[in-house]
Amino acid sequence: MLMTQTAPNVAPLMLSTPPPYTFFKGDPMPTSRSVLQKLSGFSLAVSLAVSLVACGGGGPDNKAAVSATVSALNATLSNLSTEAGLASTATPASFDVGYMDAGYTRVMLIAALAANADALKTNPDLSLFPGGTLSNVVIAGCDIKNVCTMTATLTNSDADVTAVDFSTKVVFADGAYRLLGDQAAA
Amino acid sequence: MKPQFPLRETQLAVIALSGLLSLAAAVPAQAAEKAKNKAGGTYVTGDFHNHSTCSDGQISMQKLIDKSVKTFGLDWFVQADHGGSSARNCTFREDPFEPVTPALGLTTSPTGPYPPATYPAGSTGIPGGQPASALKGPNQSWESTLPGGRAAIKGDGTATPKAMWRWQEIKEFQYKVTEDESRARQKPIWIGLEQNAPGHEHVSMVVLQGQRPWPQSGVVGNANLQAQYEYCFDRSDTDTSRGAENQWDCSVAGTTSTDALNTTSRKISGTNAMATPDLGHRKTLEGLKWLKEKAPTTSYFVPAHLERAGVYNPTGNRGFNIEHLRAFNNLAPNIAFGFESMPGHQAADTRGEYSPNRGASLANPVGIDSVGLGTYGGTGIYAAKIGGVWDALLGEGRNWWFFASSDYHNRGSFGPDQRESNQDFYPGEYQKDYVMARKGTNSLSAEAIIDGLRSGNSFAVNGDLVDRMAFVACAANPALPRSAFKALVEKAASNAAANNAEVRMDGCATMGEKLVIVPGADVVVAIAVRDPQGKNYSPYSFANPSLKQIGITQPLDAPVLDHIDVIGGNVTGFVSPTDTAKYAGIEGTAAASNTSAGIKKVFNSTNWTATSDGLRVMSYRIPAVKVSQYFRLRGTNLPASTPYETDASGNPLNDYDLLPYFDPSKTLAEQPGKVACADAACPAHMRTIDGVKYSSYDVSAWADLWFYSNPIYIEVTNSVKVAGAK
Repeated sequence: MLMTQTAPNVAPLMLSTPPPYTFFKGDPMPTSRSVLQKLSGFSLAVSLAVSLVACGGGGPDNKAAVSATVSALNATLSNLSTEAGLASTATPASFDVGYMDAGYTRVMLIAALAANADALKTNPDLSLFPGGTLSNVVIAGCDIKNVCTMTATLTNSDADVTAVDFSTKVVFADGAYRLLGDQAAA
Repeated sequence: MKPQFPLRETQLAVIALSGLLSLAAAVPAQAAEKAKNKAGGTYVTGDFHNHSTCSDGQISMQKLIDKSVKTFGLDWFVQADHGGSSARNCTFREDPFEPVTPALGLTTSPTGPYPPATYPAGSTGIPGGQPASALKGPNQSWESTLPGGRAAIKGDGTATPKAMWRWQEIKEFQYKVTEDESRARQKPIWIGLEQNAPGHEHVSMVVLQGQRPWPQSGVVGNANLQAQYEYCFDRSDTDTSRGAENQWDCSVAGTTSTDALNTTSRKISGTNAMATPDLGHRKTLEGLKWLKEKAPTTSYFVPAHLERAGVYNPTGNRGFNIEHLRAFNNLAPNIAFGFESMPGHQAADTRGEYSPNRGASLANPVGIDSVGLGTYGGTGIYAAKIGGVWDALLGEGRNWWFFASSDYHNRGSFGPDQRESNQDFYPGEYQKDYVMARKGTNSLSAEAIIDGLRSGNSFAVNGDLVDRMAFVACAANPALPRSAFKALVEKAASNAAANNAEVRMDGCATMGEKLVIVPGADVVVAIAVRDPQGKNYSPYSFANPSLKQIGITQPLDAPVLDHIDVIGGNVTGFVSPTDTAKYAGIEGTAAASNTSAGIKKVFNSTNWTATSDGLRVMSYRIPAVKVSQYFRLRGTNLPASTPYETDASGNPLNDYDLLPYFDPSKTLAEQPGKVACADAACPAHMRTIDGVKYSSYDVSAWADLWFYSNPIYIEVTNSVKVAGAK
């Protein structure tokens, strides 16, 4: 798999063998078509990354993948306000299987979403969560394991506008970036 | 000294409240409104309990209103004199206006807030303008000044000069003055009442219906219902005239009371007495039913300084036990929704006028013990004691909110325009209620303020310790990195405080609201307050004597917020009136306790983020919440373990124990005082014993500042319903 780098002290770019696609627990069972789609997306990422390298490498990562990631994350955040969104298997797909943020894992995330989906059926007053949309997303500083730093602006505009910048780790796999969290145990 | 009647009161409660459980259960239990449904609003400052010459206050309505909304800048004000009667024509103002020059050598200003230099010195030689004996200005009698003379004073009465019943004052005179002041000053100002509640001491209450304060214009409003309530339900209104030509009838539709109306007065006669125990309390409940019938959305009923007069006495008119507060809230949750546990009279010799053996004299050496035997950091024990009465009520999930009032009557031995006081502070000078008024693009209105009071989205502050607050609890979004979520809610709180607004964000609840979450969800509590830069209204700039004890030099007029406690407790649901052990009892009993309450988090300069404009921003995450609970805030300028002020946990200590005190009844030992006021600028009116000046009166109040927020509830879906909060 190709690594694009922004850190100035990183070793020369190299191609590596793409990791096998991982089907996460809770994902729909793969069909030949979905596997093809994922592989197709991955191929696109590789080819684009290669083209970036051909252009001299460095700079922001795969723009299409970043764009897709932003779309997926924003869809995820938006979907959390509905029972269908909470229960959707697409929601956890934005999170890597190794996701951990201050001790919070992907398994815990899926459980939390499911619990809220269930509760929403009988509790229309459920408060759910503050969310927002992501913008100004930059993914950079990728390491040899394809772990990168994503910085973004999170904006909530439910009534008043609140915007904050934050950063977190993402991992590039299967042609897409997935959230990895801060990888801290607590 | 301490009559205790929990059992009898329990029996009363069972009788009076049979059938009311269904009412309590009918309180809607909804989550906080969606953000987009909340009109924009700001916290506005006001006070709803103060006195003028219409009852036993020192100054006219006009002057009191001027002090409140001009000198001390309140956004709204309620003129609430005692019920009963008064001989003074309180439509008159001080004329000529004769304030004295400011005391303490302070610089005057042509624009205020203190007496402009253009004012003449007091020509009478008596500080503060019109003395009570001058029989001028507002101290002239109704009888000598009304065109119709004595005959124009309606209802019963034989004294000379004849006193006017408050119902007539309110209806025919006081309302118009108040409306005129409101419209001229373009601020919501209206008429209320400090009800002498039958069976109890006092209640701050209002019937707004009919009143048309600013921003209304044109048609003149009226306070007819307010006047009728006073006639019907004030303990001190013994008039039997039915309001003369009004021919009022005080019956309540669908009443469950078996107490007959007097055939002449058409109101329940009498109050708590040996012959008729609890009659007064039952009459007070009838009054609440009347409010519910006549003004369900435009009235409120807030027990005042409710610890001061001691525990409830079924054969006297004393204080309130927790069962009475429960009974009021069960009966009319949208009207009886809180208490004034931070009383006025903060500069009195016994702070708040709370003390042991209260009212004792040489002639009558046996007085009444205020519940708690004093205030604690200026707040009564019902709210000041963690795990006490307030936490017990919140532990039921009740909408029961905290308020403060100045209860201004006079400044003790000082004149009304002097800055020192050894009795009361003016509204806005020391205490303020900050209330969320969601007015949108409309002008601030009395209705919006009463809605704000009812909502619980409010906080009370003394000494301008803080002047902005955003307090919010949010369900942690599992899909957002923790750092991002923390940043988001802290920023939302910071923005809200900077704008004097509330956080409007789905998935968050603020004061008076509840957050509904699934079991095991994390909750993030975020707080932003502003410690205002510059000076408060204290006239003293010498070092705070209480802080001086621990080596901190901080001017009394420039207090610094030391820390904020997040106090929490579990919600276990409404207590049934039939559960006597849990429902009724005096302070300290199981019925008046919430053992789950405690300080959950302390924020100070080591763990909050400070900005140059005085904002202090902080948050913390509560992991895996499993049971319904609540959180509230208190803050102070005093660190924990400040001698005689706070204990090791930061709880306020009894103010009575701190203050030097001389008991005129000689039944209590004279107290020498604890905290010396040794600064050369310490004023002369401090208590001085054996040549030592002690921090007392207004100095001790300015030294010891607190704020209290109302709670945020968290309801866990498989746990106890928080029935009383939206």
